[in-house]
Amino acid sequence: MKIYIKTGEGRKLRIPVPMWAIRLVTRLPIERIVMKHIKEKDAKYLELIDWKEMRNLIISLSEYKGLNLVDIRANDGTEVLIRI
Amino acid sequence: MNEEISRILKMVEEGKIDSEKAMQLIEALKGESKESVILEKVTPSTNNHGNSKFKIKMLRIKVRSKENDIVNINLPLAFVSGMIKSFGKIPNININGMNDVDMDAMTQTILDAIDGGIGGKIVDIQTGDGDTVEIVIE
Repeated sequence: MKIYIKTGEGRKLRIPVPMWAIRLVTRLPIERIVMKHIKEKDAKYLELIDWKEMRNLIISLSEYKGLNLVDIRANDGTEVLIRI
Repeated sequence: MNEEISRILKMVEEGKIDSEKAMQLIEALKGESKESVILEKVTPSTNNHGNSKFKIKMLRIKVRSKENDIVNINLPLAFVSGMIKSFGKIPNININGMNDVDMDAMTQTILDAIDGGIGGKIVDIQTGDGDTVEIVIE
């Protein structure tokens, strides 16, 4: 996965996020980490999430290599592109 | 039929198809009502979003503002339905007037629609200012 950011002033930023890094992050106990830092009133939304399923889904995104997930171009020249 | 022709002209304008294909499409429209079949064939294979090699269904959200801001979001439909499933159901959001909405039924309806092969333009908004929002499954 690659993230390209271009600001209106002409600064360009390319952030490669390798799939192994994403796999690694999804192996962390995200649920516990997130629950610790979230407000109690919002916790009920997170309790609904099936984290294991979510992990498989995120990994399954790697099948779509080359897909432009997000492509935003503002008229001031700012561009954000997320490509798998 | 006029609507279909204007749609074809729009596609030419946007560079999605060339004039030759447009001619074929219009001919087909005149001839018989196979237009929808042909349109379905042409649109995914010649779209210019750089995703043409994906044969799977995509949920596309396109926003164009009058100031020429462009937002394109492409999500594989399998990913969307998987997301909904991993949430179990769409959470009940506290918005006025939405308290009585049965979220379980709504979630099920959306999943059924996706499994049933829903397609085409779901949302098409054009404001007076010239902003447009399109949500398409193709």
